[in-house]
Amino acid sequence: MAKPPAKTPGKSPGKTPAKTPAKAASQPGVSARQAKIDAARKANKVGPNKIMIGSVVAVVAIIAVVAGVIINSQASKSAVSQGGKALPAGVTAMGRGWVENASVVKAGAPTVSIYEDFRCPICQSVEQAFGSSIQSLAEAGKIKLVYHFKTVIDSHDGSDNSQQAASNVLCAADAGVFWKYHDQLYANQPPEPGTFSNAQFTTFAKDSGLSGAKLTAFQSCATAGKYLNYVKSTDDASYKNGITGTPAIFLNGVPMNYSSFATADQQPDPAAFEKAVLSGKLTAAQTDQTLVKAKAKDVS
Amino acid sequence: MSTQGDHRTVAPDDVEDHAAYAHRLRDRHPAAFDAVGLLARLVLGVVLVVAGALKMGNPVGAARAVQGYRVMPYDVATYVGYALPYAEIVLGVLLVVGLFTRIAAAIGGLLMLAFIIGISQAWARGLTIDCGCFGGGGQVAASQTKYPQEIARDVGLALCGAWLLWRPRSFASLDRALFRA
Repeated sequence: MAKPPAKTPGKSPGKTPAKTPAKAASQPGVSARQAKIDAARKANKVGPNKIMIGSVVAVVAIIAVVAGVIINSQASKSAVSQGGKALPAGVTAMGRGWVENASVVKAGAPTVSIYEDFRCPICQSVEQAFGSSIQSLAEAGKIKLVYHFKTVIDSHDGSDNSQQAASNVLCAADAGVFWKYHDQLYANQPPEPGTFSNAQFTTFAKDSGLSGAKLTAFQSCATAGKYLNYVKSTDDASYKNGITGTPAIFLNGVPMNYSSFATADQQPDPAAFEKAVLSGKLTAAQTDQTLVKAKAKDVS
Repeated sequence: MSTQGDHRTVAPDDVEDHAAYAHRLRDRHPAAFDAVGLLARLVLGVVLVVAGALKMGNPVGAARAVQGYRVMPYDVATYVGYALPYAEIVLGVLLVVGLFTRIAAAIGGLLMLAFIIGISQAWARGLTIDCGCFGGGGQVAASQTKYPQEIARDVGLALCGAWLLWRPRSFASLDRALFRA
């Protein structure tokens, strides 16, 4: 194998197109044309153009992400805009808490603000421990009871079932059976991950004693999702104020460490709970230190 | 055509600059290195695609996951949460098919670095959140936080990105099929 005497640059041997001296000598015209063709071929490299493909990929990627943002923001909007925008009785603006016992509350009663999600298991435990205390204090007007409904579990599973449950309990409140509906939601709480069915929502209303025109009114309120936007607004407002989880209970704006109300054998102690609530003040041990920075300022 | 004569023409070490040395090192064992490249691409790419896909269909949850870090203003975090699943899938697909590997790996690696910083600051500030890396996210009980595992996993993924940034060549890539990379 004869080595060509050409002065090929050492670093890139064999890369130059075939340009044998023999050919060049015998057919100078053809060779010049061939060199031009080769040069042209090299300039517009046969095969895909990296810059063009890169631009297409970049544009497609940007469109995909922007479209994704639009789809997601529309989806999260339509989840609520499908529902009604009604405010519960006595609530003046979106995001504010709803006073459950406005008609009976006595002057100077301490304010108890509860942030709850009907599908949250710890909310259920707290309800079982102190629910009847809260209810009797509220019905006697000894506390001002403010509810802020939250949808924490919805943000875990992507459903709007907690939101629906809260909207429906407000429909039940319109019909005058708030507590009965409230208790049934907790008594029949679906184990995680699970949702209430629409049939269950209706059964709870019937079992709360609604029938005839009242049941029809409840049904249309539930079907329309009358308070879905309001529930979304209380979840957002409380989240912005640092109340990101459930349950949370505030007494006159101070976060309560509800697990501190326990007997020596670690059972819930409703008597101690009621005593602290009626005093309107919490000791350091009864205060939830992790929530002290949270603002319960949306307490209405 | 490797003859004794050719060999002598190779530039001696003293004039070889640093970049050329790094280049030579990178291409010393092309087959083995290409295999590592393929593995890095698939690990980072598949994790990104899965992470993005699991966040689909739950925009509120995706937004809450980002808001939970309490780094960005509420509304900014909302839109970052909306964008993230799609960005992850786009980057993941580019890495899996090996198209524009170097830039996709660079962005993917930076994303992992951002996650590591986000998780670390949440840990340092005493927040109790799930990283929300694969859906979920937001507040969890203090006993349910998994900061060390989450950081370790993201460091591993960032290293995959770093490898591909250094040496994007790999087996079975579109880069190679289209551009002979």
